Amino acid sequence: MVETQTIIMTDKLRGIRMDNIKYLLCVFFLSLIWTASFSQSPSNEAFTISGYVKDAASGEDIIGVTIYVEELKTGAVTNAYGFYSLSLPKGNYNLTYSFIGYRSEVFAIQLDKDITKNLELAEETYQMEEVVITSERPEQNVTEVKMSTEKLKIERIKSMPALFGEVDVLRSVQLLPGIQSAGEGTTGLFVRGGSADQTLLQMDEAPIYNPSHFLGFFSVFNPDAIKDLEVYKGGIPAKYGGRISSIMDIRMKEGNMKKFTASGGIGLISSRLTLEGPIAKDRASFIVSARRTYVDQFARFARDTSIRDNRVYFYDLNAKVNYKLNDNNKFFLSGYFGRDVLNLDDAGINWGNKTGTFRWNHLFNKRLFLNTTLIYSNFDYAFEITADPDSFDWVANLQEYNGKLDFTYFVNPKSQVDFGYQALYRRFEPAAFKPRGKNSNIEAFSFDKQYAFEQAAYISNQLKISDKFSMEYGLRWSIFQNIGPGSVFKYRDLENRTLDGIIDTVKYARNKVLKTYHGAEPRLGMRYLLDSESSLKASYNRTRQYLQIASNSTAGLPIDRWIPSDTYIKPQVSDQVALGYFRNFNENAFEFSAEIYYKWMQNQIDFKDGADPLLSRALETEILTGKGWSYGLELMLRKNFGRTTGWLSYTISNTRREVAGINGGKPYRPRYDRPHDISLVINHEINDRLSLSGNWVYQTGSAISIPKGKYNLEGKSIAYYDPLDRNGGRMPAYHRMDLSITLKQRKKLFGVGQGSWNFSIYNAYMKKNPWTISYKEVINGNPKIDVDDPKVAVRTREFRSVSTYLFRIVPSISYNFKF
Amino acid sequence: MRIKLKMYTTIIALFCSLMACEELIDLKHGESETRLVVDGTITNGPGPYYVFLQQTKSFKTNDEPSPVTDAVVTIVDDLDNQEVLEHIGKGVYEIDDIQGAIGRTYSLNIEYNGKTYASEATLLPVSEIDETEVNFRKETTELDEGYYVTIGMPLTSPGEISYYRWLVTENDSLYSGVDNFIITSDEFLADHISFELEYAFELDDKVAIEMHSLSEEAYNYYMALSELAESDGGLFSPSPVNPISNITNGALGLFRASAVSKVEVVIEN
Repeated sequence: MVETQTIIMTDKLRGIRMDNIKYLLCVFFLSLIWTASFSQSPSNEAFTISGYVKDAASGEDIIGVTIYVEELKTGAVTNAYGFYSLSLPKGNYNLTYSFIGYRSEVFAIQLDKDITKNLELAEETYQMEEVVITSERPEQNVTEVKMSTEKLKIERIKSMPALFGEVDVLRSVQLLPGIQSAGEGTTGLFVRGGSADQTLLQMDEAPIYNPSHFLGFFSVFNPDAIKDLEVYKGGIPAKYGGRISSIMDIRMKEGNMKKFTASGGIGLISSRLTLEGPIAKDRASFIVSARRTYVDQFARFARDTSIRDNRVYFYDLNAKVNYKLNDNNKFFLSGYFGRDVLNLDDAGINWGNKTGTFRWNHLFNKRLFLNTTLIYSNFDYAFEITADPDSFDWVANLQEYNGKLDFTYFVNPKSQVDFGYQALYRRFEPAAFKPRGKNSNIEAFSFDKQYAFEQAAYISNQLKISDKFSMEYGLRWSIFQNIGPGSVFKYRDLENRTLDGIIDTVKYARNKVLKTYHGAEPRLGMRYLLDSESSLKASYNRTRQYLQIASNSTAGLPIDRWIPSDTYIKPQVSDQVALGYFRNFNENAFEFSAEIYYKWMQNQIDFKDGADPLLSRALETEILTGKGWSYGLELMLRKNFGRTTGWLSYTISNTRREVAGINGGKPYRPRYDRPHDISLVINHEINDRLSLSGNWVYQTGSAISIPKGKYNLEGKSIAYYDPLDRNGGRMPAYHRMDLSITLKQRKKLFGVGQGSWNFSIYNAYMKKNPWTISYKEVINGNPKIDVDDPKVAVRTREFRSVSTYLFRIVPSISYNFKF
Repeated sequence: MRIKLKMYTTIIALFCSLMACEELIDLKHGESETRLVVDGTITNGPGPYYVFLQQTKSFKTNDEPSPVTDAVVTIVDDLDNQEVLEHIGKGVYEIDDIQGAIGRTYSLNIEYNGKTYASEATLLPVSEIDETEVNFRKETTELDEGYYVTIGMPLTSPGEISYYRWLVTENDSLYSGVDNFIITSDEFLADHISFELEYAFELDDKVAIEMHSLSEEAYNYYMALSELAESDGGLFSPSPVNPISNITNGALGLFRASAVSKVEVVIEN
């Protein structure tokens, strides 16, 4: 492996010639950062105060704690590992440590030497509502440079009404502005006009290639194992890359450093159990969290006997250990293993992700922080047909090995520099199948594996230019290579590629470079404080993406094929600008934001009519390339603390694609273009035992093609679609209300534990939201009658539109406990 | 390979039986220009053969086809045999003189409403059905009780990809029509294949099974048509489109030339 890498590196260096403009740009950025870093470097009399901030109850790191220096009106924020560093001139200071939902702490510090100040913050309970500390400065929402970012704590997600008693991370995220769902029962995130594969879902930095359980009704993220999450919709920092639309960063819990706890729940379809605790108090901890469904047990009650025998289940297992060697070195090892099994009578499919993350947080000194991460991710599926003559086994997988170095240099309270390097290697094995039974008609066959190597380096600077103006600017540079063994078809007509037009196949040996792409990804964010409660922000980012899902449907199936960029499929590139107004009211009890964005997407692929990307040996003959764009306005009003919390959001957006060869070359709406999107999420604590919550969502119906006419072949009616009106129609608007009530038990569970009941109602007012619409023959005006049923007296037989809706109303109950 | 479709329909069936419900829905279908639809076949079997012409019609009208009765339809083969087809009623035009033969290419020309539509099809060979077997099966969760026919055949030309459609008729009714096509490509198949037809027949039924050769474009057309017929328009399906026709000038439908091998099975004890 080491040898391999070296060869690749030299090949790459040979392959890349920086053009002058990019080189100049790079020099410009570097000099800017250098100037920023050292022109304002602290005087000789400067000292550093640094440390980790943790949760007092669990010992978990808290991310995003603000440390504010009253005297200098400046401050710092803890990073993703709970670490902060402030270099200040010698002096006496009052430092305020604050974080939403936690009690603020104020310390008087005499700074005449470097100080390590580790701190634990205690969670605020709702009873303290009346004594909220009224800080004179606005909260992070207004002050941070970051925009187009949504944070959700897992407690918030857990308080929402659940479908079948399963709270779901991705379904909750879909309630945030600018994040669309493609339809009921799908967990794909369509962020600001981007498709689902343009969002990087990472759990403890390991990418999850297929987040769906049960075909998308649930996601792989077990809420008991998750600490919090952050979604970047725009203004993506240089540190992040790999997908063009969005990054969703999910962090697993670290395990309680203080005491051993067990928690879990019993729901309608699944049970959960989490164990966590110290291995050595305040030094090492672990967490193990498991979830398993028993849907298959329900199937026994189905009317249809063929369903009764099916085996359908999924499970998740998360594990993490955490070891603090000393103040300068911390280690983490985390893993996720999940699987879905769907075995029907004569067919079965199972799929799952496995990830592993090893991290090492190292402090070189009080001001230089390094995070080293090694990541492994594997997605695989197996599909089988057990009955001859079509019996076969089919397996496919995708593996990623990823290494990252992320440095943070805390120059002074006004400047922070982040820089780093990432190398990742992917191996794609699209499909290998072989006959299963003796009488199978299927021949053994496998597709060529593909290998890709991707690297990125970045540098960025957060700079406070004045009391009112701050910015974060950076540059990411990514390089992608297809590497051998592999082969590339040569076509007679490059523009109009067909299977018949293949004139030659060029074979490449192991580790030879088939194709290289590279490019700069500039990032910029700016914030201007209007007054103590409001700010204006602006951002620009360019992002590049070197792999995608080759699928001509909107929502993902587990068998969807991930493909790397290659000789013919160019990397996707996106540019986005966003402008926002942020304001807090009532001593930060309410946060308001309004953002507008415009996004351009290049090298978007779509498929020729009738293409079958799953089993194509030469995908480049089936794709069409074009561009996409999206713009919109997102309004968000959020209340973060008090007895009543929640948010109201409204998004108006417009997304189009333009691909030669589709819709006559005119722009068309992707299915997930849903201009109006409203979400209301409310949680109210009546007293310390009882809380109520409710969601209401409204979305314009999905864009779909509706037949303009019909004709008749072999005695059957066939729908006719206008080829120049793709997705020109709309499904009916979607709206739904969910309610839930949580009641904590008065009596201690076995004298020590806490139990609670949750009752949820999904789709409380029983809206029949169409899930799909199909066009078919309907007997006697009743779509439930089987067309082929000989026992039915046929009065009428008409070709009609039929909608299928999934859930009328779904009540559920679950019981949760914690020791 | 219709694996994805099969998997998807099974899963949907699972969901639907658990909780989903269907009902009629009224949509705004809008109107667009009508289009010519062609359905014509030439085989190497005995003639006559037929070309059926109709026009698309509004979605919310009755389901009777709207026939085209005043077109001028001409067929020419690559030996320059030419025939102007006679309209024999209800949009059906008869090919009477030209006899289909393996290896010949046939050109179709239609003059209608001031527009000209053209198509071309080559008659490809097909192997013989060399195996038939009848088995009685008791009722199970999947199967109706009855007699099931298994057929077997070698691939037409191993090493190359060929395409097939099977037409199963009993007592003049076609079992394997638009919503129940039996078509395949032999791309991933062994050199000799056999499979059981999924229809339960009764004693004394006379079952006619024809195997037709298809061109790649005809196969793709039928695949797209069957996907369209079975599509639920959902998230997991591609955006529905008209199957790609091999007729020029924006007409829909298919003109194909197929070699046929035929067996007849009489169901007896």
